[in-house]
Formats: sequence, structure tokens, C-alpha cells
Amino acid sequence: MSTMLPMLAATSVASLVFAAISISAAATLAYLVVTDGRRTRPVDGAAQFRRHLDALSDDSREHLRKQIRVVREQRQVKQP
Amino acid sequence: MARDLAIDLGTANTLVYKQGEGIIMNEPTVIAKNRRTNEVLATGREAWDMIGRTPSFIVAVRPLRGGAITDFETTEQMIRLLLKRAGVSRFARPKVLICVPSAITEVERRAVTEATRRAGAADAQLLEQPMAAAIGADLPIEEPAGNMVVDIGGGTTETAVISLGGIVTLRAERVGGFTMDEAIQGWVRKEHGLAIGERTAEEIKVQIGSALASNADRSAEVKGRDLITGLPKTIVLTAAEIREALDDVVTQMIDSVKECLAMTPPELAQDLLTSGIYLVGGGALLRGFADRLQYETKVSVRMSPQPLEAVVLGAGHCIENYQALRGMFMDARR
Repeated sequence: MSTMLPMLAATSVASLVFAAISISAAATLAYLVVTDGRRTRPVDGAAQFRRHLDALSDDSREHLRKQIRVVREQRQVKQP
Repeated sequence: MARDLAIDLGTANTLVYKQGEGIIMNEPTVIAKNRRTNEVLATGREAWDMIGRTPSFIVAVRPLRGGAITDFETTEQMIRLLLKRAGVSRFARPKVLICVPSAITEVERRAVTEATRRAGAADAQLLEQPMAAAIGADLPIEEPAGNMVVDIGGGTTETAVISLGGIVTLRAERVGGFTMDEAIQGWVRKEHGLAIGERTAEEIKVQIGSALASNADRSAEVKGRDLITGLPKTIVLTAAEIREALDDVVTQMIDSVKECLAMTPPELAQDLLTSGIYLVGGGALLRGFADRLQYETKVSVRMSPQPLEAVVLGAGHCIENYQALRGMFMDARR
């Protein structure tokens, strides 16, 4: 029994260390995944310019039009 | 994850757009501070109410004047408070796009960017106000045709011709709504010997200010301090008087638009005859301004349905499409 106790203690400490390592590794991985999508990338010429123009197109600005309508309606409510 | 923010840091008003939510803040760009302790007492509307009514140790200041940052420290405090109110914390660090006057200097540009990053933004980018206004006004700026935007703000008048998603010609003049208020203050002082505050001058401008004579011309009662006796006094001002007071400022604004038209490449100038000039900004709300601009430039003028929000709505569209439109930001084009 006396030889089992130190072994058990050592095992539980080791498992705690491994658990901490795996949690921190998972957290680091999650952080990298989240920040990767938000990292700014260098401009890549013609493709970027096309994306730029697409983002300014009427279809892409549909939500902007919605915003404009909302602002206009809010103003009309304020100034009956 | 933090939602990105767009801020229209105007001389007169500051508007904040939150990704996925829309405009969440629209307040005067004013900050009230205790001069003894340097502690911020109020910002926005609350601070605006304090202008001209504070004891000597409290100052209500506008950190931006004429489209330029006159007080870096106060601007930084203001940005910090804005971001805090928009929900920015140590764990929620959004990307922030700030709309600034195109006449901004390199030093001011760095100051705004640094202040925003220090206030907790993961990334800070700047965008010229006329460009944002064009997007916010829903102009077809992706087409290979000229679109002219005139943004009359509190401190600056900016005119830009935009084609294929980029600015082709740009002209900025340090005159705006506040210059009009100062002109009214000067006129009342000179012609009537009456001292009035900037808030009163603004009220006069809104009530009876105009750029062209019309049948709807009215007069207004104005209260101020008599410069000779030092006592409170009431006078009546007519719309014609205020028009005369504003004439120099309005002429300067229109001249700036004419100069931009003169700088425009001929192919695009031709397009402008069809597409016209698009007016945004609070100063554009001056009665008769659009008609006078149209008369003097011989180009049709259209007014934005929401001149005060156009810039922040455009910047909001940029943060909703951050990766695609980041080539438009000031840093990307340097």
C-alpha cells in the first residue's frame, strides 16, 4: 500500500499536466483558426480589384440599401 | 468574436456603425473635461449641452476643427470612450475603420490610427469621407463612369470624382458648417453690436440660413449680449441678412467644387453632365445650397436622402466586406 500511494500521486500529477497541455494546445489552435480569417492579407492585383468591384456592385450593396431605408423611415417617424 | 466597427469621426458629429447591427451611435463630437484633474466628465450630447455654460475649470471642447485634429490627447480619450461604449474590451477587439477628412496630414493619420489601436482595436484603418459617402449614397461607383460627391461637413468641404471604385480627383477646402456659424457670429457682432454664442449662431443658420433668396424667407428673434452696455438684448434678424453673412463661405464652397470639376479628366467630366453632382453632409442642408450649386456649375445636383448618415453607412458597407474592400483604405493605397 505504501508503495502504491506515491505511484498514484505521480500518475494523477502527470495526468493533470497532460490535461493542461492539451487544453492550452486546443485553445491556441482555436485562437489561430479564429484570427486567421481576420488577418489582413496583401493585395493581389487583378483578382483583388475584381473582388473590390464585386463588393461595390448593386447586389452586394443590397443590405446597405436596407440600412438607408431604415434610416429614412426612422427620420420620418421622428418628423411626422 | 468582436463585431467590427466603422466610425465617422466628423468635426461636428461622430457616428458609429457596428457590423451586423447598423448605426448604434450618433452624437456631437464634443468632450467635457475637468481642467484641473484632466478627467473626462461627459462626451457627445451631454457635453454639447455644456458648451458655453461651464465654470472656468470645466472645458467643453471639440477635438477636431476644420477637419484637423487640434487636440491629440482629447481625440484619443474620445476614441477610447467611443470604443468602450461600442463594447470593445480586452477580450473583444474588433477591427475599426475610421472615416477621416481627405485633407488629413500624415501626423494626424498616424495619431488617429495609433489612438484607435491603443484604445483596444485589433486593427485600425482609415478611409476618406467622400469615398465612404459615395458608397453610402449608393452611387454606381464600380462602373467606369464619373460620379461626383460633394461632402459639406462641419469643418471641411470635400469634392471627389470617383470611377471604378477609386478616387480620380479630389479637392478639399477647410470651410464647412462651423465656418458658417462663425460668419453669422461675426456679422451679428459687426452689424448689430451683439455677442452671440456658437450654439445660437447654429440655431440661426438652421432656422433662417439660406444660400438663395426664396418666397419662404423668414426672420428670427435673437438674444445675446450688447457689446456696448454689456446687458442682454434681443434683436430681429432677417433671412436676407444671414444670406449676406454666409455669402463668402458659400462662394468658397462652390469655388472648391468648380476647381474639382476643372481638374476632372474630360471623359469623366462628360459623364458628370449625365450623372450630376451628389450632395451629402450636414452643410448641404442649408436652404437653397443645392439650387445655387446647380446654377453656378451648370451641372444637375441631387441631394442624398440621408446626408448626415451617408458616410458612416458607406464605411459600414466596407466593414461588412472588409477583405474585398480593404484595397480602398488609405494605408493600402500608400
